Amino acid sequence: MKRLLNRCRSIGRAAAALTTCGLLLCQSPVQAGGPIRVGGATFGIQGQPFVWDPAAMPVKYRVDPGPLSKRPDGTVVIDHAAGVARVKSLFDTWQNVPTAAISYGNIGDILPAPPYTGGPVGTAQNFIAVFASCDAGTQSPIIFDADGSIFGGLGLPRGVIGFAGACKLDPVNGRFVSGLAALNGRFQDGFSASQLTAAEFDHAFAHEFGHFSGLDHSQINVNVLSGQPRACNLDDLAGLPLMFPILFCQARSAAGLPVLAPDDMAWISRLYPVTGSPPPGKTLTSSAYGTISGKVLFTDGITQAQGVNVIARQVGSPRTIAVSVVSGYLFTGNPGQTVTCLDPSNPTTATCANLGSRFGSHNPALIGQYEILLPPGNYTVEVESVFAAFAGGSRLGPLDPPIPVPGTFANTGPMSVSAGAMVVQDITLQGTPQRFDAFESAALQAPAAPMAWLRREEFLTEKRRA
Amino acid sequence: MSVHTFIAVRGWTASRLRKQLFQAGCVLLLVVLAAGSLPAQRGAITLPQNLDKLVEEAAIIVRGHVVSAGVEPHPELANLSTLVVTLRVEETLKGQASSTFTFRQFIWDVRDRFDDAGYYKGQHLLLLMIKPSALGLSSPAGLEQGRFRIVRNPEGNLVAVNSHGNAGLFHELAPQLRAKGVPLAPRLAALVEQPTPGPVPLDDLRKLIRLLAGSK
Repeated sequence: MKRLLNRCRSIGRAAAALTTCGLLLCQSPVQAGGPIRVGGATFGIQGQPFVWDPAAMPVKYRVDPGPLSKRPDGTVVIDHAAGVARVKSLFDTWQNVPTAAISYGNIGDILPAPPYTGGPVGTAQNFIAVFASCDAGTQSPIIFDADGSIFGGLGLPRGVIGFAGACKLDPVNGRFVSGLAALNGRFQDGFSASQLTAAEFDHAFAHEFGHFSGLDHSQINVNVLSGQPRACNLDDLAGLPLMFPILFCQARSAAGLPVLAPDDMAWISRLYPVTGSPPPGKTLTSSAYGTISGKVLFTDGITQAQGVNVIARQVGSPRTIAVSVVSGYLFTGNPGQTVTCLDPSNPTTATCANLGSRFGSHNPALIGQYEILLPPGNYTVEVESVFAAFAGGSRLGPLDPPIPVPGTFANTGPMSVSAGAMVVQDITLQGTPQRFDAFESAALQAPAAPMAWLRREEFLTEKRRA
Repeated sequence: MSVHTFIAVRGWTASRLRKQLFQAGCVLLLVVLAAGSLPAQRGAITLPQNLDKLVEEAAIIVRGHVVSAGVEPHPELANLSTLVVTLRVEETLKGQASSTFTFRQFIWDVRDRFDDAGYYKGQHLLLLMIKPSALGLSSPAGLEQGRFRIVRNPEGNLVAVNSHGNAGLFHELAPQLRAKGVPLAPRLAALVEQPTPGPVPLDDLRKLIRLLAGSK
């Protein structure tokens, strides 16, 4: 009887776990601690990050013919030429990574898109027309809202500095087709309230151009949040990714650091590896990076854990040289289902509202998978929770909201990483709740087998005996 | 458009934050789980604004439940996707609103078009909305900062949290209130003097908003 009760409790826990997972995962369009989009079962290439077409470099963008910033009285503060140079410099930040095969090219002024006929975009109506052309994949515009009037016309609040990202995606090949960035020059006019320094403005848009290029947020040295804003420890700042979700510290360049942290450089190299014969100024990615990869597992050593931030830190420089990824970054737990469609026999977007996320692999082998590109050296690997406030627009990783790490893990010992080599290191969390779900039982299934949860107990018992 | 809200959180008095980070994270997690996911308008870089600035910019502040939310073309600009949200108003904290309140918001991120930027029927919200533009478009002040989900915490009390986890919401608010001569009850004073990231009691937030709205 007691055993039966224990079984019932186990089932109850399993049901609760499933419910929790359902709540979490069904709300999780996939993003990652690396790529911002991952292809799904029917959209893009399943399990592969969306990227700009490597065979069609450079990424071609067009720039607003007007000034970047002007005061309310019309005085130009940053003229067009300086604005174009600023944009180029921000893109160059990413292009200059020697192990990344991405480049950007300004191919001229923004194309007319009726009723916009050319010249400074300047108004919300013109912006909307240009935006539509981006949506159609016609062009990738960089728009200067010199005095904030475009943003005002769009009903955006005063505090919006800008926005950026992809407009159109190629659902077959998993490519970005077009993208857009809009920069609010009001924050650089030296006159309006809430001015930003040039370093802060550039830092913000270098980050945005990271998103434009396909990168998601990263979390390393999150302890900076317990310090004073704009006064972060230089070691922490050196390792803090440009793609950290919150501008909490001083701008990296203002502290004499390169704009990109090791994490940023590793991930742009992961998305756009240099292969074959490197062009001048570029280096084979495989000759400059090795990899640590594996799975994050629950204590049972079977169940994979998604949403755990994994950080590899270089021995001797743990704060400054570190690269991270969120486990399960390629996977979506929201594959959809058709059971509750209004018309189950005809499951279409019109009859179902539960077709799941278009993004992220449905392969359960990837639930706890992680992979970190690293410069050669000795590294330890650690895990941590994604900071709970990193949700919504500041989200990080495949789960929104994030979850606490379901157990503990002592850092690994040092591991040697060599260029071009891969080190496999699974991470088994300790003290996790018991787990049971459809995915973990899949490996144990056999024809005419007893219920999976019974067989799981047998499996574990045998494992313990062995 | 890509995911992103770039927050600059300035001036947290922070040695205590280290100790409270984990606790706050756990509490916040429970709340956001209860609130559902927090997808919000993505891809924007916004300046951090404290509650005073948000209230100042808001033309109307309402609390209520979402009756409907959906993406539809702008009535005059057919190629512009807009989000239209209607609330059943239960309380107006600033400005004038009738029993229902509808706003139309510009959205640029392709994901926002699929999930109505995280608005859904039945959602309980406190919204600090700016004055609509000539095109009839409006947004919460500070975008995600002026959009609070209201949920019950594990103790059963109503709390409010924005998509920044309320980070920076009370930053430098205490001196601003003092400068305006706004008196605070001890409980509210403690809240603004020693802010921690995470949800705040709805009643406290309402009282603060009323005080700030009345002090203008």
